[in-house]
This record gives sequence, structure tokens and C-alpha cells, in this order.
Amino acid sequence: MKHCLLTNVLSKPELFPKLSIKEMETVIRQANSCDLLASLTHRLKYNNIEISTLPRKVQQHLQAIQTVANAHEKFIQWEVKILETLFNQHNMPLILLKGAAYTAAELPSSKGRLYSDIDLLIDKNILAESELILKRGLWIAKEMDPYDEKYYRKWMHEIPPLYHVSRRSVLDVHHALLPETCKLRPDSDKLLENVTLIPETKNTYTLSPVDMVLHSMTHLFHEGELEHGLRDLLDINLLLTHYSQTDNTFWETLVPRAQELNLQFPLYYGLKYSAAILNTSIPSYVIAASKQNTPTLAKLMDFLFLRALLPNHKTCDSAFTGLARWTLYVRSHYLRMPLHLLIPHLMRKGNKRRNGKLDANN
Amino acid sequence: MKLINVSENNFSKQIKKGINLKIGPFCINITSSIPEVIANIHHLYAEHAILDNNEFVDFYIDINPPTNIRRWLRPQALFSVDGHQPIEPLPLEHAYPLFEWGMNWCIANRAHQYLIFHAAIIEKNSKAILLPGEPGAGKSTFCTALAHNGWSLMSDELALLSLADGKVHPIPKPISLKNESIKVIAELFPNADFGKTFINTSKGTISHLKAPTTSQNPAQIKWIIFPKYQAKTDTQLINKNKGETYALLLNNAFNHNLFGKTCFDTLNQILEVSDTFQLTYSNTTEAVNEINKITADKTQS
Repeated sequence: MKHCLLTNVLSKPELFPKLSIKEMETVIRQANSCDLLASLTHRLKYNNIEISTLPRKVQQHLQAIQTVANAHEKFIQWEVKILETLFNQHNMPLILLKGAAYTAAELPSSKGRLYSDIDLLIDKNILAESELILKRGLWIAKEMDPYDEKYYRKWMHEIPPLYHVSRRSVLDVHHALLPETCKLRPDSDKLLENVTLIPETKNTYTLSPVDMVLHSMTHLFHEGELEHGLRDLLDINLLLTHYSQTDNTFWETLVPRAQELNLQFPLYYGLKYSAAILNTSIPSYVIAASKQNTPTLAKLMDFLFLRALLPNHKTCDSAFTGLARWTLYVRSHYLRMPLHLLIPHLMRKGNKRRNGKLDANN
Repeated sequence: MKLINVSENNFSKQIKKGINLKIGPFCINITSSIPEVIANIHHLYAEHAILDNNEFVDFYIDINPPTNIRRWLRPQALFSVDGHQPIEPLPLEHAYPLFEWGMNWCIANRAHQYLIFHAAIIEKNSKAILLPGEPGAGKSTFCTALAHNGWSLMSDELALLSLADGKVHPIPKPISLKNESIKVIAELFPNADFGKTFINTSKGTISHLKAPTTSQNPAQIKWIIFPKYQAKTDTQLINKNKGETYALLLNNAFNHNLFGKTCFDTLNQILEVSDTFQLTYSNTTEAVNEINKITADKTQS
């Protein structure tokens, strides 16, 4: 694996002030390439590194991105508040996923995170009703051609993204963690049974700690475009570290829960690469248990992920990085749907792209 | 060392591998192999300093034809910042305007240590006039005229207001003039030093002008003037309500939504110490005289 300054500094922030100014510049470039500069800034501060003692130029870049991250955090809190009010009026639980969940529950993984959308989980049985309520709150889907609409409705684990009419905020409404066409789909009912109430809220939830970790891993290791791969891996690392300190049943429930939800492979990868790249400390019995489900091509996957999970920046690229990213992209499509559905879908996509009307989301 | 002291030939060799140029508060590493881009930068940025390789680089900018088959089919120029392409490619003959737009994109999207206005800004004795205005209102033309009449150019389209000291920081770059304004300026100032002319860009015909005097130091905003060119009108300078000015300023700020109350407080302070006007003009010389009159007492050293 190629040496990458950013991952070193993320796992050992105390190294940063000792770097030369050109090395700091490299870290900033690598972090910008995967939207991690604000998270890095937070980690430096959290480790008692005074930003004001760093070179002036470095300070400027860190402060500028922190301004952005603070604005994002406020914006997400505000949007969640509006959603809460809307859902409360109809006595519906609001279940937040990913970044919005981290922010609402004030988890360490929310600090310095940049957002593009808000993810919700809604029970499929009340999906239609929920869409209506969201429509009343002025979250509306863009017009879509019937094929795209069918693609989402029939095969995906989420409905077409909703946009707020005036604020332009984006909602991704999920009814499952993985597409309907995936081989190993976790049962959404099992997730819904175990949601955790966010303290001091009436009816707002995150997934349970183990489920949140498993979702983060599932998302990363089914995803094809790994531009934010390192960001997602950092989420996993921060969640693991946080829960291992605050929840004493966390480790012992993690592996059994992964088995229950059919998520042994994502768990295996998540633990392995979080430890390998970000130095996460994981009890040896958990690692051993996760290895019971080692994927058949584990060696090849190591080769691919250990390259593709690094920042998408030329200072982190080796000769095989491009090939690794491409292979994982192809893999993600294969994981998404069986070949008899995938091939016609990709052909259609290819045709549409030539006609220049592709919806960026599928 | 200034760029003017490097021969075009030498510069051309260096920029192919990447060269650090000081542009306002930023150190920008530029890589290009497009002859027109190289020649225009060498001409228009002649007074800018070259910084050495140990300098911290704020942005790595690359402007080159794509490496794939397109370079022969329909030649294009690609703009990328550190390997990522934030804006669409343009035909190769518009590579230089793409370079200028791309650089503005970097600053407006990354330099959030500043509150950034889409406005021209000029100063005399560290007292600045902010000239916001819709595209086509004539702010570039008017600031060019002022820059030929004793004022120093801070920027013709990006005013960088530092929230730390409440001052505007100069980022002198070539002034981008469009369509009729190119002729107007060439007639008013026969010595005006233009770069190449680009026709049929998305903004029409564009030519960049090397500013006659550029500012080096931060300045305090003392006047906010909204210029508006209107054919066949008398010069008219009228006071503008400060509440309305505040709202219009926010409309012209790229990143005000990031700062919340700090932005509100800083703008309030500026409005308290600034005079605010609407300027309607058709005769540029007359308008410049009018501005010199109302600013005279505060700009004397």
C-alpha cells in the first residue's frame, strides 16, 4: 500500500504539527480530495493541537473549511428540526440515517462532516402516506421519465430523491439498507424494531448502535464510487471507537447482529480496513469471529480496497489505483442487481447517456 | 522575482511543469502547455511575483487539452484544480478565459476566510469604493476608468472582505472587459494595454486589460456605489437607502450564508462608515469626475 500522509495524520493527529509546510500542504490537498479537511481540523483540535500555532496559510485553509462545516452542521440541525415538527404533527417516528443521524445524536462522527443530503428510513408499509406528508412539507421529487421512476420503485431501496421547493435541501428516503435486487438484503423490520430514541426528542430515532455501524459498513462496501470512501471509513472508525467506550455490550453484539442481518461480509471488510488504514483498535475475539465469514476472494479484495479507499489524489495513487477503482465500480453494479436485470439496465443507461439525458442518480 | 523579468521562452518551459504565481493573497501553481494561455499570462501578469517551490500553494490549477482522442476531434481545454474538474471544458480557443473563470471558481468556492462579493473594488490611500452590480451594469468599464484616473485596482470582480480585520484585501488580476466596453475603453485610453481578444465565448467577446495601477495593501470600504450605464442619460449620483444596499450586497455575496451573524455585524459596521449611492451615467469621464468630487476630502493623504 502506498504511503498516505492523510491517513497517518488521521490516526495520529499529534504528527501534524511536526510536518514541514509542504507536507502540511500535501495533507490539505489529500483531505480536500475526499472532503475530509473539516474532519481533520476537528481531530486536530480535539487532540489539543492549537490551530493558531500552525503556519498562517495552513490556519487559513483550516479555518475556511471549518466555517463551511459549521454552516453545514447548523443547516442539518435546522432541516432535522423542520422534519421533526412535520413528523410529530402526524405522530410518525422520524428515523435518521448516516450523517443526519450522527449530527442529531451529536456523535463524534458528525464533527466536521460535510453534507449533501439527509437520509431517512421509513417503514415500507407507510411509505405512500409518508410521501404525502413530505409533500405537504414541500419536499417534492423532480420529474422523471417512467423508466427511471420504475427503476427506483421496483428495484431500489429508496424512492427518487426529494427536493425542498424553496430551500433546495435534498432528502433521500430509504425503506431498506440495500436495493431489493441485492442477494443479501437485511430485513428492514429487524432494523425498525431496534431503533434508538435520540435523547430529549419526542419521536426522533437513529438505528441502534450496532445497526448504525453495520449500515455504515454496508453502504461503503456496496458502493461503487469511492470518492468519499475514506470519509465513510472514518465514520466507521469513529463509530467503533465511540461505542466501544460508551456501550459495554457493543462488541459482543456486533458479530451476532451482522449474522442476523446477513451483513457478515460488510462487517468483515469494515473491521479489517478500518483497522488497517485508520488504526482502529478492535478486540481480537471480534476480529476472529468476523473472520468466520472471510470472502472467497479476500486477497484480491485487499489489493483493491487498500488502494481504492485512499484519497482520490495523485499523491496517493499507485500504478494499480485506477484499475482497482474501476473493478470496484463494476463489482458494485454486480452486487446491486443480478445480471439478467443489470445488463439491460446498463444498456439503457448507455443509450441515454449518448442522448445526454442521464439522471445522475442511477 | 517578477514575471516581467523572465523571458517568455523561459516562462513557457517552467509553466509546462507548473509555476507558482502570487495573485493577491494566494499562491497559485499553474500548469499549462497551451501557447495562447502561456503568452497571455506572461503579458497580463507581468507585474506579479513568481514564488519559489518551497512556498505553500493554495491552488494547483491545470489548463490543458484532454489527453484522449478529443484533442484531435474537436480540440478542447480542460480546467482542473488538483486533479478535479469543477467546470465544463471549453473549446481550445477559449482556454484563457477558462483559466480566468476557473481561478475565480477556486477563490469563490474555497477561500472562505473571506466574505466574497461579486463586485469591482478600487482604492486610493487605503480608502476603497465597492462597485457591485449585475453583469452588464458596467462595473468593469467604470472601475477601469477609475483605475486610469488615480485609483488603484483591487479587483474587477471579486472583493475579498476579511472578517478578521473588516478590510478588503486586493487580488489584482487583469480586468475582464466584454463586448462594447472593449471599444469604449480603447477609445478613452489609447494606451490601455489589452491581451488577446476572444470572440463567441458564452459572455460574448472578451478581452483582458492589464490594470495600470494595482493595489498591494488592504483597504477600508468607505463608499458603496452601484454603477449603471444607460445610454444618453445625464450623470446622476443619488443616495441609496442603506437597508436596500444591505439587501443588494447580500445578493452579490457568494458565501454570506456560511457566516450568519458575523456577516450581518461586519456589513453593518461597513454600512455605518460608508456612503452609499446609485450612479447612472453614459459619459464615463463625467462620471469619474463626479466620483472624484465626492471622495476628495476622504482620499487626501
